[in-house]
Amino acid sequence: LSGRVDLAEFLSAFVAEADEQLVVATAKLLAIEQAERKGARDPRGVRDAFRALHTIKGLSSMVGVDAIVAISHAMESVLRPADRAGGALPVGGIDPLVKGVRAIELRVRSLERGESVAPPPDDLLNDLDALVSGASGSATGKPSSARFALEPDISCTRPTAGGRSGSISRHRPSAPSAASRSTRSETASVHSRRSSASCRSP
Amino acid sequence: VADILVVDDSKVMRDMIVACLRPRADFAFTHASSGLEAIERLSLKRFDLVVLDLNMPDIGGIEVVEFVRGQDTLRDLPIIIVTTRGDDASRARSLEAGASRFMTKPFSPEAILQEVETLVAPAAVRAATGVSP
Repeated sequence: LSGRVDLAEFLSAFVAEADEQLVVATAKLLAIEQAERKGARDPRGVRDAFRALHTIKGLSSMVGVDAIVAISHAMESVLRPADRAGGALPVGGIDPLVKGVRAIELRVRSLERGESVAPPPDDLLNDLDALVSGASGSATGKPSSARFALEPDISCTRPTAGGRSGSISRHRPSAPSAASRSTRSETASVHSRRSSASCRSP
Repeated sequence: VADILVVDDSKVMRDMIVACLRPRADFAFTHASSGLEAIERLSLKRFDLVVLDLNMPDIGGIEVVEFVRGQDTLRDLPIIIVTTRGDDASRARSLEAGASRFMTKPFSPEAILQEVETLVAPAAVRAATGVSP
């Protein structure tokens, strides 16, 4: 066992599913934009776009394509609150999201060709971060790495012997409250994946 | 042979999970691409363990866990939640609903294999004897 799912084994399937989800995300973002032009919202479109990016992030994380994880995570961070707000995207939100889809697509193509994957574009991540900061009312201009490092969504990890990690919580069915306490104690750290943006080729 | 139900709306993710568990030749796998399909399969056949995605389009992982724990015949079925959402709220909701383990993607093949092996052995004893080890 290698400590990581082997990208080479899943490359063609990964590319096919990533492409499929990118098509969904693009179509939904266009539908959201059209709805916005009519002064309406498209909550279903926002949710579907979120789900597409969520799937891409999960698959990319499993095979260690960290650049795509970082981009899709930043896009999720815009779409999740919009989903919770009934489909209300921040003003000017569509353009960075479309650019995000394009940035992921370029990296998928690199993987497909067996090339190294470029790191996530800082300007794109900053634009997406700014949307989140603006939507939440928090201070703008905050360094993007600070928000990312504090984001609890990406991975709370427990080190394993193989150097990779999986977050594991244990549960005793007869004592759920004790299990919850155990969960907290086993959560070792929250780490940023943006710092390791380079990816291996298959 | 231990029968394991792998539930995720992403086929590639299901295949990755199966690949992680492939070192155990005595594991047999059934796929379900949605929470609804998982419930249907669980109603038709006895499984030794479920690996379950949290976020799915129709019925989410939490709802599947709640369904399982509500069935007398499935109450002790081990369930491992796997998700990219590692936040405390998702973790707490999963465990409170009755999930046996909560793992955040990415996890290593070693990590999930270890958890499955830990859970399957007692479940097999329980299935054979009707008594918890």
